[in-house]
Amino acid sequence: MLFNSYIFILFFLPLTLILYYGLNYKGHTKLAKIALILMSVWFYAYFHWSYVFVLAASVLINYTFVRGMEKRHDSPASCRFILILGITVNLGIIFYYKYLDFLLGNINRGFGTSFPLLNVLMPLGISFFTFQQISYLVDSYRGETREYDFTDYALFVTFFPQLVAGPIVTHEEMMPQFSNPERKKFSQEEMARGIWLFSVGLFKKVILADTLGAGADWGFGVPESLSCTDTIIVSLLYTFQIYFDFSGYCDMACGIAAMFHLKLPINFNSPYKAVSIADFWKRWHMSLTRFLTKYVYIPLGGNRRGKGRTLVNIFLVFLISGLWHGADWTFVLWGVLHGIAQILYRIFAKIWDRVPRILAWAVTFSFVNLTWIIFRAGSLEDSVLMLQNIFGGKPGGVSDGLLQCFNIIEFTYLEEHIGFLGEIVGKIPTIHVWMFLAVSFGVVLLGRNCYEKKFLPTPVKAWGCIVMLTWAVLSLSGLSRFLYFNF
Amino acid sequence: MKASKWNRLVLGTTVAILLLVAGVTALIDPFLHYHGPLGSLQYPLKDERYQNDGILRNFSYDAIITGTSMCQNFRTSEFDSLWDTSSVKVCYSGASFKEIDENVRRALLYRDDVKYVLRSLDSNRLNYPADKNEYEGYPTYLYDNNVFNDVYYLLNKEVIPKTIAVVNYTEAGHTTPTWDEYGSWSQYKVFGKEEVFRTWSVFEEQEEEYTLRQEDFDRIRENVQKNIIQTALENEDVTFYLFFPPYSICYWDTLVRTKQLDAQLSAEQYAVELLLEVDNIRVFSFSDHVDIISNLDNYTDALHYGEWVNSHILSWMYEGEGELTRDNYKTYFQKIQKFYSEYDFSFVEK
Repeated sequence: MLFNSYIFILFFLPLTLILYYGLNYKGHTKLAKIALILMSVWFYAYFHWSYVFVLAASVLINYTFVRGMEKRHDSPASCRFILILGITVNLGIIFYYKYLDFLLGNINRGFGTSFPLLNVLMPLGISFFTFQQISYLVDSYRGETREYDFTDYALFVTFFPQLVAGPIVTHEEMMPQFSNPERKKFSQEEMARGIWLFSVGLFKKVILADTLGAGADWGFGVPESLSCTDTIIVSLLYTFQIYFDFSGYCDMACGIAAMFHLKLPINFNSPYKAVSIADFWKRWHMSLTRFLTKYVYIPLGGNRRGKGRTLVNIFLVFLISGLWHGADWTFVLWGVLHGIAQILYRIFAKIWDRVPRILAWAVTFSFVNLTWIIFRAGSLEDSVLMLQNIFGGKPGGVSDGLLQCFNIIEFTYLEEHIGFLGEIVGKIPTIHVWMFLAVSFGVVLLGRNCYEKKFLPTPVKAWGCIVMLTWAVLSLSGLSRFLYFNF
Repeated sequence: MKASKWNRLVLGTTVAILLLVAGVTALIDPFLHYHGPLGSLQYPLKDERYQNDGILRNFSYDAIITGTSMCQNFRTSEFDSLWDTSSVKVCYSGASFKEIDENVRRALLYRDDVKYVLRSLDSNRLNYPADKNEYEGYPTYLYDNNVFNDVYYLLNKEVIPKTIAVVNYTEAGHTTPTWDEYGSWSQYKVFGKEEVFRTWSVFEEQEEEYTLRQEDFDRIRENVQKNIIQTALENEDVTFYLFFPPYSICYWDTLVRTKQLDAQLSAEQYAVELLLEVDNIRVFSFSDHVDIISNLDNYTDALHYGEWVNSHILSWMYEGEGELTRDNYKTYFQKIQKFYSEYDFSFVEK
């Protein structure tokens, strides 16, 4: 189930809130947790029923490993064996669903073999709940966890706001909250904050990201026919689409958690304001960066084994990050480029930090923007084509196909009913695109992170929230255009 | 402001606005999903894939004219005066056999007194996979009886202007189109050789004869059986009038130059063989009406003919002219093959 769906907003979320608080109010706190787990399972099964078996197996297997380590806490060798086994099983599951076909495809291409691809349906969010449980296994091995019962553990993994797209939470963030009696009580303040965050996130996703995404989808679908101007615009559209998509998702996830009087960690902190790649990764998908730092970079030796090894460790972390985002060479190259940029920053940090901030920002943003092309392109060839379009200065203006992606109903209606707006569009047909890009730049550079800002329930915010929420809900559905040469 | 008051204001107002939008949409019902035209309101009929299902649900009729743009210029009044019916016209531009069949099936579910179904048998869609849809994004939420998925209709920002349009249309003094007018495009088009040649160009002569393979025949069979014959067998009381639209001479020129004439006629003949096995199906073809086909004044492009051709088609079908039977269909296709393979296409030299 998607957050941005009618069933979630109008049915699932209200029902789950009523169930959860109703059971807690009656004193059935354990039942309330079980209800939340079951609702989370329904949330997950709504994508595809078969996903539930993978999720359930993953939770049961990992809980068994954890209990195994707890029972043998006086035998470090046994615990170490269980940890290695646990990590291997987790990586095995994720490898099977996400990477096996990629590997087989490459072997077939490289060696002329014809191993059949499995074409298995990859369970949504498998990277998230697998990494979350690996972190739990490691923390358990280190003796940093307490003995939590199965209900708490299952809720920790399946809690639906963070199940399919993060943030990757840790046990010390969530478990104490699950057992805190104060957090089981309904809070008007947290509900208000939750509604606000959810509305902002929904608006970012539905109104901004999806409209920008239509243009990006169009452009990335026809890279060979794009001009230099088209390609730059399309790359920016995707850069902002992924921003508003992920930022919107994080806002919604945190908002929903707040409605349940729970707090998820911040995952996204105005990343396009970054003035270096290191700064960018401190702001973008923060819980992934934290995971990779704590469970990969530091165990590899971090910066404790000399400068050369530090740089190798950084590179490995970004290589893994690239692969984590997807099983394709585009993701690998994207990770490698970010790794190289991070290494260069590490080497030249003192010089870089003296560069004027505006210049440092421009270079960082441009680098992020260009590497998103590789991330999003359908293939490495497509990404090369698009980069050639930009750097080769391929002639041509803005394509009609791109402009049509921005003929949204709001513009059409306003221009039909306010005469001078129609005249402006007649004179500047590209104005819709520029408006979206200008608003996007404005929001990402001037807006403050609404998660960190203290929320005050003011009337202005209330009406802003009403506008965003109704606008976004009414935009969850549209009408298709069946064009057939005017017949 | 207190958080509790803030919550009540936000949730209360949001729910009220959404209920208002849903309520007004359901009341005026621009897609006619819940009821026919309301009171004195007049409805612009411009969204066939959104409105046709509602028309089939909420209007009275005992005959259906459906099909692609080849049928949009039919006049139900002409059909009714010939067949003594009260017909409705619900066409779907560019539709595949599957889409049309699904709509026919729903119509026959909504009404059990339908006597006739008239639909085009577009030759260029015969060799389609049986489950092929021409488009994506059909409003399937309008095509079922599930009230829960109506939310896609009731809370849809793009439906709001359609709702307002009904009011504006009424205030402007317009009236709901008649079935004769609905979907008809003939009066908006230019006809003649010059117009046809604007969008059609002579195909390059092909060397190799195109022949149908076994999988083509299998695909045609599945398409025809699943999307026409099955429905006819399940509705024995309904007579299905099917016709191959008379495309222009340019279409035939293309078939000859690309060496597809024999393959196309084989496909049509095979489909006809299958269709004639069913008693309540009547099949018509007008490919021998050279007076119509070779006169480009009847066409706006290589395929689409003017409304007067639709009138001819109705009267031909009523009189049984051009009807293919088990006795005549083979001779008919032989005649057509011979005629077009020997035809002098020099007219294409502008």
